[in-house]
Amino acid sequence: MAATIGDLIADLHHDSAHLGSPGRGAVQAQTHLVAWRHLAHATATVLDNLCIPLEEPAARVGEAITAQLSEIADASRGYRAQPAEALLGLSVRVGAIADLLATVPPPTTPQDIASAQGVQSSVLACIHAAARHTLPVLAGKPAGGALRQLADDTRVFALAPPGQYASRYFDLAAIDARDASVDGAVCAWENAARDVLQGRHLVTAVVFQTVAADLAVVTAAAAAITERIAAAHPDLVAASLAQDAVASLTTARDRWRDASIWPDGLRYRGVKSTDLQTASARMRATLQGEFRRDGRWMTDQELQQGSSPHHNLAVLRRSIAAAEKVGKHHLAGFTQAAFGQDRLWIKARLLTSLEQTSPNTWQVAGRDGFLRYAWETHRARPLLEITQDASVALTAAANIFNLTAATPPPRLAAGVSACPWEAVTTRLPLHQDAAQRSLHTPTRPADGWKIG
Amino acid sequence: MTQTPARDLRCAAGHLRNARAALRGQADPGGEFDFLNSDILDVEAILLYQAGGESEPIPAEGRTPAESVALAAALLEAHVQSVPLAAWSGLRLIQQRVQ
Repeated sequence: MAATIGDLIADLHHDSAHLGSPGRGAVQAQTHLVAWRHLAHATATVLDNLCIPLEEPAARVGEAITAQLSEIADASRGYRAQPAEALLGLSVRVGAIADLLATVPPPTTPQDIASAQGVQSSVLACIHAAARHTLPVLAGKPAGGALRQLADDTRVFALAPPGQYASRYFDLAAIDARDASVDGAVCAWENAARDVLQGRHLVTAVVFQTVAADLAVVTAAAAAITERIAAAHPDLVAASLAQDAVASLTTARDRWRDASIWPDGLRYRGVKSTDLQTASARMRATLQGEFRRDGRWMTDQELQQGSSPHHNLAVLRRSIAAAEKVGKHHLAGFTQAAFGQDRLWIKARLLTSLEQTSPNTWQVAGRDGFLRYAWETHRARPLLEITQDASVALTAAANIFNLTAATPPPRLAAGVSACPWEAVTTRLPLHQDAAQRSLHTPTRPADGWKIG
Repeated sequence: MTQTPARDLRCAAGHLRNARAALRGQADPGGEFDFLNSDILDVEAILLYQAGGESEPIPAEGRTPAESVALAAALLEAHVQSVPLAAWSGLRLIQQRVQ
């Protein structure tokens, strides 16, 4: 099973909460400074990769903290020592989070921005713990002042229990296409579909239909399993949200079903490639093994014998995200077939007499009774429209489905109080969505952030 | 009437396409359609790779999915040596599921 950002953050919080005594003395100071060089670099990379829009308060917080981290890293230059093990462990996890975030496009929607803030807050809460851990060692040292400032400025993020922070980015995982999981199979299929659809000479009529059918399979799985999980776990997915997600996924499924059955007599030839067929078969077999039994979708009880509802939802969200990308490749490929190159042909004898005699409509090529495609009267036109509808429906479904990630999973259940965290309230500008921001963004003091 | 292997393979693919279209219109309480649709496409792809070209347009004439799959199988039976084994194994599984 691939580690997700959520897993890494949960581990990070656990380790931060269990940092032992740092010890004292010159040697300890050096080992901690050297470790902070790694931790500061990894944390700055996380903040950088989150790409929170500059007009957001969280971006200004990130910039100020990055400057402090830079100062601490500078102070550690010239020291040669084994880095303190506990801090090094934190920096490895923070670095892994940074790597995973490198694949994420800059957030633009309010939901994505809130998600980015969720990750930022979670990581900075741990940085606060690490800074507090190190302060006794560096008291009186040059980096001590910067570290004190860092601890002060990140304190606000550590005032909420980890479970309060939610983010759709928590689903992101480092997935190996060879992994024998749904994630691995979908990743391999996504790669194969992208390569074939972008390979001008590999795409064929069968490829277009196969990819469309696969997209229907993935969306059908997401709709069916979400419906079952939502019915059994209303605490995990709100009923109204689940209803919207299932409806949008079902619409996308139906559109891709339509796109998977081409009208008679269309030809789009390419070079034989079996990679997509292999990856497609593997993905379907994996989805069936994970989510189906005896020719039907599993019940919630049956699903729980394999994985938790939260895990299944995260897997399906990742699958839909992959499917959305493939859907866009499919649309781009088919549009190219329809408008760009001239390899889309139609069986001549299927044309109506009107189509055959219409001027400027057909350029007769006469090969195997097929004629070169011409857009004006071609019966592939509805197919292009269906494909466009399907791609749009899948993007809409992915956006709605992503909202199901907003409910935080139970993390660090042991030792974390279940009581409401009343200290975190919003004092944000009125134009911002306070209800949403309160979950992700820590309190902004009335007199502004004490940073910079 | 038996024709050249390539043409019969393309005709078999046409029957399979008709089977998918017919399945699309049927009730699907268990959510089996999407998997069956893809499995049938797999066999179509194998046949068309072997034969070259696209599936032949075959009038559906109101056939059930099972009937269309049976017609495809009958066409392939006439050219056993020309039909890849993967197509046979896929077709047999499909026949069981569309009954």
